[in-house]
Amino acid sequence: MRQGLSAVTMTALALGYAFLYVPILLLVAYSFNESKLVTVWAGFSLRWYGALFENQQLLAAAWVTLRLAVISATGALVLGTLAGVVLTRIGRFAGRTLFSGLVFAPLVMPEVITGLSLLLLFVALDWSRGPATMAIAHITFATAYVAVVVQARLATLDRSIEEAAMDLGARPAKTFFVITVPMIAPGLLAGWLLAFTLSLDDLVIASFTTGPEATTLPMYIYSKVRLGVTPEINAVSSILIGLVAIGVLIASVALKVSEERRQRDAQRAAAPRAAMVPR
Amino acid sequence: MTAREAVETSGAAERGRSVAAIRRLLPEEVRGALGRHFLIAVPFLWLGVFFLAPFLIVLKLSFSEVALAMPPYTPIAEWVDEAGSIHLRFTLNLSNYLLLVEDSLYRRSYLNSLGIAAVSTAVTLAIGFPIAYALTQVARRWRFALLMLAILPFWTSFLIRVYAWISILKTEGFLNQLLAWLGLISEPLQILNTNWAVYLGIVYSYLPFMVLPLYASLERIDVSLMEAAADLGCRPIKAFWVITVPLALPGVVAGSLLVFIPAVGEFVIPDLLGGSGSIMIGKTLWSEFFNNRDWPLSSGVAVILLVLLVVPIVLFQRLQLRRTVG
Amino acid sequence: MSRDAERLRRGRAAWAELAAQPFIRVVGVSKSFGSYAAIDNVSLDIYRGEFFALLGPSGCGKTTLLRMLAGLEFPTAGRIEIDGSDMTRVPPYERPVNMMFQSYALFPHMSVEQNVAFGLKQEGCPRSEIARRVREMLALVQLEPFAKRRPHQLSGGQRQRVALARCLVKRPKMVLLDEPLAALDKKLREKTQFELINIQEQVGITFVIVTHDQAEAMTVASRIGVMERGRIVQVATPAEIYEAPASRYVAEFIGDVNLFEGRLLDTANGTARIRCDDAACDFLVEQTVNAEPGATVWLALRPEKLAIDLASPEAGAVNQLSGTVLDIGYLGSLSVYHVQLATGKQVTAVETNRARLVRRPISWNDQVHLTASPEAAVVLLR
Repeated sequence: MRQGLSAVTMTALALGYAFLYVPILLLVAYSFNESKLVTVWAGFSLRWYGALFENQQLLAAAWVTLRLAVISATGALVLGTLAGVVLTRIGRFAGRTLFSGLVFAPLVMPEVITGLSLLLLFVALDWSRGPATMAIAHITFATAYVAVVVQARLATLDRSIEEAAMDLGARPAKTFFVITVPMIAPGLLAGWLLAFTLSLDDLVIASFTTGPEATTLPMYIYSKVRLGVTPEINAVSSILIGLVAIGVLIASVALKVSEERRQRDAQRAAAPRAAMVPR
Repeated sequence: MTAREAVETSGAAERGRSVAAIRRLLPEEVRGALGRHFLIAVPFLWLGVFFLAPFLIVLKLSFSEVALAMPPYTPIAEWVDEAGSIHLRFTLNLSNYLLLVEDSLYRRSYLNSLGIAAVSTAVTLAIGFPIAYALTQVARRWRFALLMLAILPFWTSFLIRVYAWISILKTEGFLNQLLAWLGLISEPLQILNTNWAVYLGIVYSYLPFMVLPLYASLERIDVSLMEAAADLGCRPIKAFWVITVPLALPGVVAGSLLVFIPAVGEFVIPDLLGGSGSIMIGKTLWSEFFNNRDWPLSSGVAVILLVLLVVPIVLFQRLQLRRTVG
Repeated sequence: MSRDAERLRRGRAAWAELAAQPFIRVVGVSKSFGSYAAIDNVSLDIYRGEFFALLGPSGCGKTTLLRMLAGLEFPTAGRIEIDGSDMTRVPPYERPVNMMFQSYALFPHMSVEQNVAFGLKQEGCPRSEIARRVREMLALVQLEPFAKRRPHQLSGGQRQRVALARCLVKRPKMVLLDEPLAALDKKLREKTQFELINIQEQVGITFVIVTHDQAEAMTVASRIGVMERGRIVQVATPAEIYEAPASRYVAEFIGDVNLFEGRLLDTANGTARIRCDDAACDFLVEQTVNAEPGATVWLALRPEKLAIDLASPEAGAVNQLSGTVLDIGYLGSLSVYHVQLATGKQVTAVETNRARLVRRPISWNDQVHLTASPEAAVVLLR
């Protein structure tokens, strides 16, 4: 069934990937455009990239965004891992349905609702808004994504490995850190990266929960985009796309390589066994 | 020392006895229960305070009136001193909901949102299914790279991907340039600032959300099922409809919900790609809040949006829950 | 070694000595999951140095009982004692008991050495001692060359030995084995069964094994507890279980058996006479049966205890049946005959193929005679 691709599947893939990537490639290509007009090619230039590094406003926004993303991703990793553990390792408890509802709802909740409701909470609590409130907001909605990733990883884990550790004398907390965490490490890394990029990209929730001084990169880009398309925005976007692409590629290739090595080892191990069984 | 002698001399009791003694102050079951409750309580409390409680505030605020104050609304419950006796007075204000139900502008924005989200979801499914299916047919060594390429846009900024379409769709943009060059049009088409651009933006932005669950459920289907169908005399095209499609249904439902629900409340896409005519509920909420500073009214919009989405969200929760249990 | 063997012989006979103290006591233990009763009021004594097998079909609760001994589940009711102390609610990490899991549950991110050392580290054992004991244990299971490997770089049989070493190195009072050989192929499994017995005899630790494979239980165990739907139905040595099953369930679960329903006619001089309508014959069985004449009983007759012959037996022979050969299964070492009696009942008889087969003396549709001696059959009351 799998040998040979039919023309139909080939076309589906080609068109699908063209649809996904042509807009991005055009955006990147025109960031190297000499002209101030984004849609008219006037020769290769790096001038817009140069201009970025003199734009203090933009650099400040980038710095705010980066710090926010690191803090939010780390917080979401902790909370999301706890939630994932509760969902997969603690059977029944009062309020389990509500708990899982709270964990998964942010995945699909429209951002305008999450943003508005958090802002109203901060106002009600009389907390001054700024990076801290944005971090709380981002932790809250990114926790759901981490929980999904961690829970998927935990669900496929052989329970008896953790039981074996306890049977050999490790207490539950120790078992978690010495046995469970190393085994779900790829999932934890993926969860952290996911939370990091979610925070990096978010416009709506940040706009609701920020204060007067703190402007994030997406908020800066949005305010410029509303005024029209500029090559400078193309340049920032290209840098962001490039960084994320490189990060994701490195992470997934590393994962792939370690997985392949594991499979090769397993195959090699199977060989002596075949020799051991007398015919 | 032989292994057996070693067993006899030791026994398994050589532990840190003092630590054990301290631990024994609390029976193990009590400690276990404490640990469990702590594990549950931390995420539960956080989500309760920062996710659940805010909805209650939104609900409360949707019943108050806009005011020139900070925060810009009237309280719905306040302590009043009437004739010497202090009591709590509730003022439930339904004017926001009346406005939201009676004004055709708001009504249109809900219907528009649901319509646009439904059409976009159907189109995303129509585009996403062939891609996901084709991915399962590709040789294994290519599949990882192709899957990575399908996921990659999901990691890059939503805002940037929407922005990329502006220069394609605008009157002097790449699409019109291409069509004119091909001689298909003489006048540039107006696509940006229409509903067409919004459809396109949603399909484009949410395509990975559709492809991934579809791929996951298609990939799980045993190849031998198709072989068995062929062996029993079923032609490939028919087998695809009677075997593959029904088995992929969970992926179809999950993917559709992952696209539909956030699309209904979408703000960035209608704001940047849609025109003044393409009003969606997310955009309405945003402009009531940021432009008109009418917090109570935007809370009302949020409540109605939530009511519209209750059924699909509950459906999605069920699906997630079944995955965690099964 | 001679001292070991002597001790072992005594150890193995411990349950037969009235004065012997049980090492592990399971007293009236029940366990339910929601409304489902996995274990129903089980009591069991296991003695020091025994190799005890819990045998039963899947879902009979044997694994649940094992997990309660390990502390991975707690009983809903009842008590578990190990070496005189109450362990009913003691968590796994505080029990002097170690378990070998069906999946082996090796830590994938640790080497063989680290896996084996894990339990000692939890005890806070000094480094030098850990190193020495791990080395000794790897020598015992012949895995020294593989000390630095990761579990996924090992074959199934090697992983199984790592899992065993990891249990034994802690010198527990009892080792629990959950279907330890299920993942191995048949030849390796049979070889490993004997390795397990040797290792157990060397270390002298009490072993409790859970298995659904009756041949495995009979090979390795000194005593077997047969389980059925959450209860223990018989505890005895392998030979007793096979030759004197306590019920039809045990007789059918262990080995093949022909069962006849009948009515007890009389019991005299230790010989019971039973009328079986479906065999159209009266059976004589040398067994004292505790039932009134007229009671419904069952007669269990193992296929290898039925002699099959073309010629009619001499006059006066007891316990004889005759019928037509329906089917012959040639298994190389044995031949299995399916014979239909005149009543319609089918009976199975097994003959060892002592001579090389030149021609088949018994063939399809042959009229044959089956005989069993009075001590061959067992009368069952339930």
